Amino acid sequence: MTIFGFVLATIFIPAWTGSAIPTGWVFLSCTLPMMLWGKVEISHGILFALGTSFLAYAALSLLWTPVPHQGVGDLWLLAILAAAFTYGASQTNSSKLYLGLACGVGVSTVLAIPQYFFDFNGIYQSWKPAGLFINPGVYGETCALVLVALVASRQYWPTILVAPGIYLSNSRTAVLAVAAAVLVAAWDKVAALGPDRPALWKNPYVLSTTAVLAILAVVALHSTLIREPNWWTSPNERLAIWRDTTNGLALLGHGAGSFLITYPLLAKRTDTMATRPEHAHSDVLELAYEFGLGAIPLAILAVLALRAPAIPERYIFIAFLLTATLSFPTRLPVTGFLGAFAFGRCVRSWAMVRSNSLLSRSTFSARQGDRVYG
Amino acid sequence: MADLQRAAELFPYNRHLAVAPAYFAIRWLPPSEETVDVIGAALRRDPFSADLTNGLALHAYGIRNDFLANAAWRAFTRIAPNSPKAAQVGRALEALP
Repeated sequence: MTIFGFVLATIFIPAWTGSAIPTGWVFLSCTLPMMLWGKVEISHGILFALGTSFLAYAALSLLWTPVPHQGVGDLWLLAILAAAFTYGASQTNSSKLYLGLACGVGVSTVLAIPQYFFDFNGIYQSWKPAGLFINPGVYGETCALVLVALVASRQYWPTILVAPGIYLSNSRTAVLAVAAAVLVAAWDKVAALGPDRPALWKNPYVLSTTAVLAILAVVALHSTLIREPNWWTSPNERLAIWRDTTNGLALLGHGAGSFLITYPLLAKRTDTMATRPEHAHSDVLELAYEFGLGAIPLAILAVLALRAPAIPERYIFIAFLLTATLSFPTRLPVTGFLGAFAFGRCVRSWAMVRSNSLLSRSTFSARQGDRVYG
Repeated sequence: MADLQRAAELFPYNRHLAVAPAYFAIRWLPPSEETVDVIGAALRRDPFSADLTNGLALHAYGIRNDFLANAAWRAFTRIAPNSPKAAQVGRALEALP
């Protein structure tokens, strides 16, 4: 698992091992079927029905998508994410995977330091510093998800490989993703203390969370006010894309792969001659645009995943969900795989806790029945 | 160019690969019947692309196919209404007899 994680994070070297297609997708297409072979039991419960109904609807949408070729390409990525979800649901301990991903992302951090401080341009990047990810925002978001995975699985030394990336990349989405995971973790800890918990200002979890959030706020403010004078440009562009996309929402959706093709028709606030957004910069919005009501089963699964017990993947999924609201992590191999993996683990854990609680309730009822009638 | 066309035929499911020959033709090749065909094929794969539509119009104009150039530029003004170039093209089209 460590090697798998390392290779996944390093296999794409821009303009060397891949260009138009991130090599990570090809790697996942080759490895995931082998990793899943013989290990997956197909159940016929409600979770299976929700997952397959979403995938079936996505496949059916090829009938009305404007360019079926693009739809097939997007369905290929969706199938890989579904396999990652299934793989996540079949795993119990994933610490080695996170360690491997951290080492892989660490290679990007080692590259990002000369890219940032010495203008190193040996690896193609759209803006500095991007490591092996071309885009600094993507690099920062990947660092955020892997950092949450490491801390949640109590592996602290590898955080040095990913934490600098959040600062270097200047990604505010990454800062927000870590903050969301920290807040939910603190909430879980405080709630677990029960009614006898100390007052908030004496509670060590609340105090440590406040300290971490203060550090993150300083990083975000420093990124926004000092390092990026035109800090409003990026949020402004995103808002324009979101407003255009929202205006184009349809009940049944426009079909798989339709956003990339039809966006110029919607674009009232951006000049598509100058810039052509390939994604809505919000996977949640893009799914609603492409699949409409057909995305509801996926939304139900996400709600169930949010009700998972306090396993490490719960916090990864929360950070991933926030990133997916503000960016496009499902369209990139590392973040897409990690998010889908955590999603699968969370849904599986929720189902196990629920079946255990139902089992204990039925046992209790049977015992009670024995006492009453026996 | 031949390599790009082969890649586009081999994997048409990725937009970057599928339209790469057309962008190459627009950027590097002089207008000809062949480049108009290549750009037209890419437009079937990515029908609302503003720069491909503009490229088709330029190449059609280059080979004196005025009918196609006119139609492509009219489509361009509808696809990219808020582009400064679209306003320029729109004014030129209005000035036509």
